[in-house]
Amino acid sequence: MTQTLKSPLFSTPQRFRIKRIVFGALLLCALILVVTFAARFLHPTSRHSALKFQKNEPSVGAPAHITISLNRPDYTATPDDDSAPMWVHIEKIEPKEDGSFLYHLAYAGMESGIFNLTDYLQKSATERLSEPVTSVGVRSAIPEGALYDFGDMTASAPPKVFPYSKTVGLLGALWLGWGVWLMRQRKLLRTGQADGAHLQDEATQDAADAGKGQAAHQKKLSDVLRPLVQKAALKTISTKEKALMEHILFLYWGKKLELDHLDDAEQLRRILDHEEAGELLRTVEQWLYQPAAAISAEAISDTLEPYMQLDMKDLPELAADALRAAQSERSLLAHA
Amino acid sequence: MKKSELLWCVVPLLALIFHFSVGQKLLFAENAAAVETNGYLAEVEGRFAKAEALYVKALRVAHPADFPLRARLDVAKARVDIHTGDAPAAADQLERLLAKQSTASLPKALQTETQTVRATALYYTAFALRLLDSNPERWAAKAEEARTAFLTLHQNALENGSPETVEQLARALEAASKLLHYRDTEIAGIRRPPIAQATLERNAPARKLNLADESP
Repeated sequence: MTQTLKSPLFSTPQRFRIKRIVFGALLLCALILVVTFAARFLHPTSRHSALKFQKNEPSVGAPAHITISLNRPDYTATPDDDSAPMWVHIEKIEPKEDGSFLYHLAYAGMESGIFNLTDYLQKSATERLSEPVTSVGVRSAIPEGALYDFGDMTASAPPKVFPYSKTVGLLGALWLGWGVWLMRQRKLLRTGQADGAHLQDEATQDAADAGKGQAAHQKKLSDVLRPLVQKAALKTISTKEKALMEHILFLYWGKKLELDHLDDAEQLRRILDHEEAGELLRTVEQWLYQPAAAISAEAISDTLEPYMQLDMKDLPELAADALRAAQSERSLLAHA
Repeated sequence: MKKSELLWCVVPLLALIFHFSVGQKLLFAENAAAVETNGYLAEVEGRFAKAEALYVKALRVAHPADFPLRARLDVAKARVDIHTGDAPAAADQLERLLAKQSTASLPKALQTETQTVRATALYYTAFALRLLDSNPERWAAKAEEARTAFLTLHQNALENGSPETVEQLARALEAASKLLHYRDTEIAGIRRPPIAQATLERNAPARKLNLADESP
């Protein structure tokens, strides 16, 4: 019973049935592929986001320019439509030698995809031009699936400013340093001058007193002689200072006795022959160079007392020069 | 008195003259820069309220006559304002800044940044307006203004900008173009940008957006 109800199809072996089904499915797939492929060319305005766009293609919203060749000069651009995915404007139409016309077009896509530019040109208000096909791509700059946003409004780091406070501080420090240096220079100069006075009053006077003595030594010989006598009494007098002391007295008497025109040896001989001067110089020499001599500092001081009151102007220039030389030598030694 | 000592005495006088003329600007700029840097760090870390407060403080510290610094701080504050949802105020503030004649004397980069931030403020204002009201009369003008500003900036960047700037402005231009182009249903379907949402929440209750839209 069952076998009589079987149709010829069922009687066909099982494997033939499977082959037919597979063949039909393949045919259907091929048909779908052909139709899809054809649709891309028949309807190029459709968007194909899956297509890969060239990097140099304009992005959505960015206008671009292109030149195409058409056979008539009277095509116009379709009116702008906010809902249209693209706008096209004709910038210029130029005739070519072969009778065709160059259309300089500007366009911008409001969506990403591939578009046929001639879809946006028209022969008349009702008749659009769709041939020849001129495809242009518009790429999306916003990545697929990204937020409808652009979150790259990044702040740029503030520029570095001139460090005014630090510079002022540095310049102030330099200025103070300069001041200290100037003060030191001034002090050194003063010390040099004070050293001259120090020669007069080294044993007892402090630096301030020495400054005052500087002014005085220009008036009285005592200011030069007294410290030398005191130093000699303390046995701290140097050979040069001894020589200076003798030299001052020698020159003084040379001038007083009007022996300037004679040479030093003759001057010395005549001074030693002089009653008062000879006595003085011999006493001083004994006191200076013969420590065993029983001459006290007080005695010498008394002996020299009359000379102490003499003005410096009574001293010959030569003695003054010698005195200055001695002072500057002291000063240099002190600086060193 | 020696010449060097005399010069030493004169130097502080010259320094004082400098300090109370050009120096004041430099000192103010230095003080403001310290606050501005803190504001920048807060902004980078996403603490926009703190950054806004610091930028306002820096504006108070800045010398009144230091226009480039004040302009930079205005831009920074506007940028932060956008993040905090006050895009309409930021757009107005930068519009006033750009309307000043002295803005033309600002460095080119600062002018570009000012225009970029203003366009961004306009974009988010338009976005919030669009979410608030579907009537294009309410939002289209601001959206178009933002698009035009981004278009100009993009064109300039194509001529003399870095590839990164071109790409960044291309994204902005695309976003502004799509804001104009998309239908209400599409806009309703997309995820709202946080800044647009913040702008909507901050301004909608007081109807500030409508007022801003109606003002010239």
